[in-house]
Amino acid sequence: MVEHRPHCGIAEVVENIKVAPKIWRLTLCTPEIAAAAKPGQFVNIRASSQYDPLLRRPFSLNRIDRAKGTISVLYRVVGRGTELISLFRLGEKVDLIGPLGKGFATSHPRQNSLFVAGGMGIAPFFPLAQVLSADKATATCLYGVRCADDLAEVSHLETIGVKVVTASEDGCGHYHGKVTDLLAATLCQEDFSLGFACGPHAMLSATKDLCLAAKLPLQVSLESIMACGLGLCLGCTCPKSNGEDYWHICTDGPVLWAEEVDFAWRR
Amino acid sequence: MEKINPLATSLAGLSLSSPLVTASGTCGYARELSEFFDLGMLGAIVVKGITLAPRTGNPGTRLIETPAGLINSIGLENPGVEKFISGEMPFLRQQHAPVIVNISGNTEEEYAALATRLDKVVGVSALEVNISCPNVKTGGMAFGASTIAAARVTTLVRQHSQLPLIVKLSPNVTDIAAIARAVEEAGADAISLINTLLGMAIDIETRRPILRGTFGGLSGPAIKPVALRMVYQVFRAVKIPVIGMGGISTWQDAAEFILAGATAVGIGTASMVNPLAVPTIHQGLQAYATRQGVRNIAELRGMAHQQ
Ligand SMILES: Cc1cc2nc3c(=O)[nH]c(=O)nc-3n(C[C@H](O)[C@H](O)[C@H](O)COP(=O)(O)OP(=O)(O)OC[C@H]3O[C@@H](n4cnc5c(N)ncnc54)[C@H](O)[C@@H]3O)c2cc1C
Ligand SMILES: Cc1cc2nc3c(=O)[nH]c(=O)nc-3n(C[C@H](O)[C@H](O)[C@H](O)COP(=O)(O)O)c2cc1C
Repeated sequence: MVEHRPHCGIAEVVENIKVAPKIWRLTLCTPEIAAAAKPGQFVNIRASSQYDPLLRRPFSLNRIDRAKGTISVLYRVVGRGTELISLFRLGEKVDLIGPLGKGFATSHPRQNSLFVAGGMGIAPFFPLAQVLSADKATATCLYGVRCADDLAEVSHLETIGVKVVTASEDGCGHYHGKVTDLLAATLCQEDFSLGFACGPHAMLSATKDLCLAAKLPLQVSLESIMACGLGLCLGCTCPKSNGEDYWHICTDGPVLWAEEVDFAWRR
Repeated sequence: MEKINPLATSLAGLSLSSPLVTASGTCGYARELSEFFDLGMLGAIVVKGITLAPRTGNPGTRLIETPAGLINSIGLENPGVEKFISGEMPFLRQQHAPVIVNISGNTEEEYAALATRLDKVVGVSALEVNISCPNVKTGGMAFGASTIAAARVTTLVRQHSQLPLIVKLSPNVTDIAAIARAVEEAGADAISLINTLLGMAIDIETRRPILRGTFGGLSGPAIKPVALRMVYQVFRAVKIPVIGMGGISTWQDAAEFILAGATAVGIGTASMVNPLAVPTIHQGLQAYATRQGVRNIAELRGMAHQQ
């Protein structure tokens, strides 16, 4: 069950800007969603008022500004839906539902948190860092990208006190290699109280193994093709680690405890 | 004076506040949609397909978006009939709409057992027998594909239940009218159609079908013309009422199905895209009835057949 009754309605585009060659940030005026949203939750946006593309596109909340009544999503243009969204103009009316799903659980001990982000997996961490920094907790973000063009958010996260360490196999980051190799090295050097990860499946799977071995409790934010985002269709599943049945990513997640998820799954 | 409701209708002995019903499997057990609108606007709540034993559903990818459509391979994930009765019926009973329970079986015995179990459950207003779900390898497909098998299941459920009986047809057949006549003769009180059309998609990188079960069920606006044609054909073939569905997304779509002969219409994929689809269509249909100068929408039923 969703924690709040989600809001379904029209929001005006306040800003839609390119922040990196393929990455954009869309800001929408939606006081209802901004008021209810928590870090790690998502919104489901219609890319077109027509029926093609048919389904809404889910995006993590990248900014939650209660005072202004706005929310933002940080998205990468990968296909037709995101292409259409990148064409949204200032003042345009956008049909969206949110906030959806369960966000990050922040009530656990988290004096020193560790974020592990892969690519667009960086998107949900800014609002999470805001909540943590309001409580004077420290956070380190290990951020893996393919190349410099994929980098976003670094200075924003640093402004609110997050220590960001970038990793890239092409050598553009602080660390030359995969973010999970950086994670392995980091876990040997420093103790953390709580881990949060968001990114591609393989990265999350490796992150789970490393964090569990280091006895670091880990929450993962998962992705799946979704239709409704509301729990109507039961289409967005991932297997539970009990080996018996499935989580529904839209309502049980998108954030789940890593130990509850069976990452051996692949189509 | 009492306000006349131009959308009120009746079907198989049930009075419906509107011709709009949920399409099974696209609205869960109505809890989620109840957060968006008053379910009393629905003529009936048709719940997600129920099986005798719980089912965890299919592994792997369950959804594929297609042009104006959606292929699903959910695999009838559901809590099973006992948990449905104890866990979902208390909530459903409180809603101001009749509850129609959609049932699926792997064998004739399972359909019979489901019919028996649900017969005396307070708050269950009718059964919708899914003889067509294409997702489950060992599932209903075989029943919906032949006149003989379809009639046998209908007869069996009829024998085990006093409830109004709706049989939901599969479009994946050569002669839909023949199947419709067969289930009518076997005792169905109404027919609903269409279930999803079999479809597939292939991953061109791995060169394999995307769905583990190869085929899935296509729904959404893409299937509307096919669904409308079948409703039109079935309306001519039988005397029992028809619940039409397949891609209905706007009030204009709903009006087309009513003109083709539908007594009620199911809203499925459209509610998944827009949880406010039902209230929007409701409002549009009401205004349409007024503009058409009819006291009740039922006066427009089947009008497309008139010479
Ligand atoms: C909970 C959640 C949060 C997300 N947050 C972000 C985010 O903050 N920033 C961001 O850039 N992306 C995010 N994604 C992924 C984003 O939804 C997809 O990139 C987007 O839907 C692609 O749409 P498209 O039409 O451009 O691509 P196409 O490939 O044309 O889309 C075809 C279909 O596949 C689906 N799809 C494709 N890729 C994905 C994917 N990775 N995850 C889920 N569905 C997919 C689409 O929704 C659509 O139904 C998130 C996904 C989920 C489930
Ligand atoms: C996700 C999903 C699940 C479905 N589950 C069922 C089901 O359990 N039983 C059933 O009879 N039909 C099921 N259907 C079929 C729908 O009830 C409906 O017949 C079909 O989708 C066509 O209508 P639409 O285009 O409005 O969705 C399902 C459809 C979808 C999309």
